[in-house]
Amino acid sequence: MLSEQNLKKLEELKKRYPTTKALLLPVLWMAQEQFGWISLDTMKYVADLLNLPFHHVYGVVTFYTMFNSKPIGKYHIQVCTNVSCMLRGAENIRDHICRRLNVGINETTPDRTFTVTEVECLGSCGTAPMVQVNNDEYYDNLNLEKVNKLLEDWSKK
Amino acid sequence: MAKITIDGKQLEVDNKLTIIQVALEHGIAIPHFCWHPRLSVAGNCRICLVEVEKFPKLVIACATQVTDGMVVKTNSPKVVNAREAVMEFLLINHPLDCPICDEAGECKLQDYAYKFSEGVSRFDFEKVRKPKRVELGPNVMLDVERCIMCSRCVRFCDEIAKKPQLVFIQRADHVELTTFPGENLDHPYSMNTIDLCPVGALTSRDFRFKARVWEMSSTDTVCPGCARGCNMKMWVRNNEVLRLTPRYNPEVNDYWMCDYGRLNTFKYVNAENRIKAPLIRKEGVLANQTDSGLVEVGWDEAIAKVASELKSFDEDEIAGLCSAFATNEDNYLFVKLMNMLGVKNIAFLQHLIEGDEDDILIRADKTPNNRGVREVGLTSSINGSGWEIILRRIDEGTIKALYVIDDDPGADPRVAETLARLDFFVVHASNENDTTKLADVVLSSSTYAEKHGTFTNFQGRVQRIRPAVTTAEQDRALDGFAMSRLDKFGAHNDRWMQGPKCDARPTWRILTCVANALGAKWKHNTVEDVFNEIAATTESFKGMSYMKLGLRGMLLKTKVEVVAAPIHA
Ligand code: SF4
Ligand code: SF4
Repeated sequence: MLSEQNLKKLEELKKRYPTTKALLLPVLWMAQEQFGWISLDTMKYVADLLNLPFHHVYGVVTFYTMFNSKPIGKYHIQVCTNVSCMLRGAENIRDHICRRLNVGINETTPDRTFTVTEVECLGSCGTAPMVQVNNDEYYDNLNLEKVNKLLEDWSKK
Repeated sequence: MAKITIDGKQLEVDNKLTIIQVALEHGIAIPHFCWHPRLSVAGNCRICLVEVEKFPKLVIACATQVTDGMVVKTNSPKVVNAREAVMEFLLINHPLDCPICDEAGECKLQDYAYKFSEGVSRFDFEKVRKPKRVELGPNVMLDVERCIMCSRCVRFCDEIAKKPQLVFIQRADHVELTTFPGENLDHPYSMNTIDLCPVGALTSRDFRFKARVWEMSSTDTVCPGCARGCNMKMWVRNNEVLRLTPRYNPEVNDYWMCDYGRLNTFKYVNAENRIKAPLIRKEGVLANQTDSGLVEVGWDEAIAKVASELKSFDEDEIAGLCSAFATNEDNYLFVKLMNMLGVKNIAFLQHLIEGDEDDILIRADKTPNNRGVREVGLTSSINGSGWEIILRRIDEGTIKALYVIDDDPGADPRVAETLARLDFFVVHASNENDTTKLADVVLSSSTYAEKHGTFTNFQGRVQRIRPAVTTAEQDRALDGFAMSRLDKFGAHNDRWMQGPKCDARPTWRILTCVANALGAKWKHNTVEDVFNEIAATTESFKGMSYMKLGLRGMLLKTKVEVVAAPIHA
């Protein structure tokens, strides 16, 4: 169930979108913000809400890599490994994070704190290498020390 | 209207059409995977690229409307190059399954690879791996690796069957066709996706791995599953029907047929319970006796028996049951025979399943020739007294003999009880059923897969059925059957020439034999003679001939509802 607040927001959004198919993306985004990820049940719920076939929602969720169709840790670390970041050591940073957290790419730590994924360009090439955490926090100009510091901070919280 | 030129051919065409539609209409082939005349334009396969003068780039023929003065080239070097590039892309991740793929031989990808591809790949990485055996639903199997993501199947479910069940998930080379987890592709038309699929990604779970397509002959016939009469092809190998596929008829079924018709109207042709020769009930226990006390005999003996028995009853003591499963010709001759004997008690059974119909194809009337029986049989000249009345008179003992063609009234236990009281009971049947158990004589009749004839569908369209399976008296080559390569080039001792044959005859021919044994001088050598007689004597069939019926059939001349009151079975 979407929260009261989100449902209210939905009513607002409805006015701005010509069809419920178009409305699907912002609604899924709301759902992901609320639940952290989008389960099959959530997909069904959203489909019913917008009067769309289940499988259509399923197709959309899986098409966009930024929708998580699996449970995700509290900190979703997305390491960019596209050209600029790669040239400035992103692969090293990726491997380092994985080693420290003892997980592979697309995996979540058993305590559900961290998930590590590898992503394409996030538009921060000027300050490469970088990672994004959750939906909108950027950490750039990284090196291994900075990464260690960040991981320690997050583990403590 | 627009004046356009395609490959140097000047055409004047409707300007609402697209290049591919115009080209196809004028016999110019433009390759296409995702485009289908009845589905929305997706434009995703890119194989239909053509060159249009003054356009900076190649355009897809499926989504480009014609405009006045357009000059299109479908085979210029640029186009040939582009096609080769598209083929190379499509083949990058396509598995080399042709040797074990059901689609091979009727695969667009395979055909186009031969025609338009250089046959060389520059891709030397490992191909993507995806699930090979996904049960999409009760009737359809999916091989995800073979899918070329044309979306025909998706659009069919959305647009034609109106049951949106399929979807693509993921993207790029991870794309997979699927249903929502826990849901199935299970609507009544699901198997049309198999025909639509240009590759072997969707296959029939019923037909999977049964045969290579070139081993089968295909015969143009009509589905007897309901009153729609969908046009279809019947595929036969070794005298065994292996699958049915829809055949295009815009007036009846367009490109489609239902799963019920496709799966349930052929298995009885080669079933164990086929009646392989005429049977007579004989006193005492004999070596070749069946469970129900019937003995196999020759045709002459069986027919002589029927004739002499029929002669021994008064006309009022005999009743006849026509059949909406039998052809117009069968019913016509049956009524003619009954007329000759002076029999007035004639009826036929309807087989309705109320509610089992939709506004796509499926009809509640589960017989192919209901309309036809009324048209050639129980017309105003003979007032068919109802089946219920016949049953009552059998119970009372006033009707003593019953002649049934190609129906199973005994399936109703209440009726079976009544039928057991008959002094003489003759049945034409192709398979053992509750009725044949009660009969004194069973004349082994051909199924619709073994004879020529016509059905009249609910619209009043008279359509031809053609034989695809041979009976003991027929020979594929001599009797003009459709022939596969195996049929053409095989020898009689080949394994695929040993298929079983029944000593069955079409009902119209059995009736001719019976009538002549009763002293008539009927001269119907072929079923076409019977049809010509119908056309000459029945107003609504005036002007029809097998030749004119062709592959699409013809509408009856009159459209009056006939009033004989048939009774629900
Ligand atoms: S399964 Fe066949 S019809 Fe469906 S998208 Fe794939 S290739 Fe096209
Ligand atoms: S709709 Fe009727 S005629 Fe057509 S395939 Fe189905 S059963 Fe056969």
